[in-house]
Amino acid sequence: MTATADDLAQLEVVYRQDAERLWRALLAFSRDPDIASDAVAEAFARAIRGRAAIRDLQAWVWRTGFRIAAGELQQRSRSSTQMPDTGYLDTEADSDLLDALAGLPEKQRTAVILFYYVDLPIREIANRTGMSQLAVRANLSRGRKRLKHLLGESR
Amino acid sequence: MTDMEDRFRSLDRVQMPELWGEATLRAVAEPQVAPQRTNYVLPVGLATAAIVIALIVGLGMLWGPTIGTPAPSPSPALLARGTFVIRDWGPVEFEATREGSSVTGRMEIGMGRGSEWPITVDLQCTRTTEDGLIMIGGYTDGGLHPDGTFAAIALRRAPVKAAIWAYGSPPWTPTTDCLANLDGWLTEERTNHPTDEIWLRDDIEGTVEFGP
Repeated sequence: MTATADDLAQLEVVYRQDAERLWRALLAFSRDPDIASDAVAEAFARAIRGRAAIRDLQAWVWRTGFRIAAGELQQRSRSSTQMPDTGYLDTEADSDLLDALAGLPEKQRTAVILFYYVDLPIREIANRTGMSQLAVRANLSRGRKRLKHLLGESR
Repeated sequence: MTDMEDRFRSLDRVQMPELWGEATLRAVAEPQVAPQRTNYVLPVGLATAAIVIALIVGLGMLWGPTIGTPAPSPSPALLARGTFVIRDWGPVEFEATREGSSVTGRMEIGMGRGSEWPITVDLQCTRTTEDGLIMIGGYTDGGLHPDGTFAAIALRRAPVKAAIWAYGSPPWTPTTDCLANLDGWLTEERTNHPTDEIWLRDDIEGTVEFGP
């Protein structure tokens, strides 16, 4: 571990500020609490290990969390692993919304979640995902239309 | 707050487990390092590209340039112009004229909330489908994205509907062939959506004028 005590304290501040929102955003992204938990824990673990080389800690953790979750989803689809039983989510979150989000391509899903749930402006979504602002705008526009269609909304 | 934002707020009811301890434990554990692999893709790709370029240049030298009197070109005619606001993107201003099969024009697209810089697009090509959809495409050359990203607009008359497209994502990636990009966009939308109304649904606030 290369992080100093100060680094660790700084990282814990970011964790306390952001982890919950990041976890829920990843839950919306993956529809799987295990993937969300693994991605958050792993993103912060990597941040602790590589703290010295990270300039924008917050953006880095979000970007890494989404990459890890996307990788796990791809791995699952390749190995045709069964989806875990997440029935309890349906009583707590909007299950129709989670199902519809699962029908969006990865980049559209990411842009829509960060815009509508995390309430980030386009510039910050670009910063946290590594997409260009134009790509964020395009993915958001297309994702929103597709999501509304999947949810059966007229506008 | 919009209906969509309300629906997303339901996520706040799901409780996150405590993960800080797990993160610090993982940080002290040995990180897994993937074995390095030699990447042969780039050298092979470069060699292939060099052979293709050499073939093209060689064939061009064999046949030489075609010399002849250029056919008189028709005068430019308006294809479409407009000034309007479109949801998600913000203000759009464009004008495109057609001369034969080529298109000349400019488009400026605002980027809406959180982005103060518009993007400018050099319009270069157009496609009109059998059912009357007009698509005009080109490449960004200024503003936030002066990097030659493909961008396009699709328009339907009466009532006027529009959609903006920019940036490629898999399975289709834009190329330098402007018309092929327009076709790629259309194919992707019509493959993914049962009707155009799903992707071409933005009611615009402003005006669009179509040429003959």
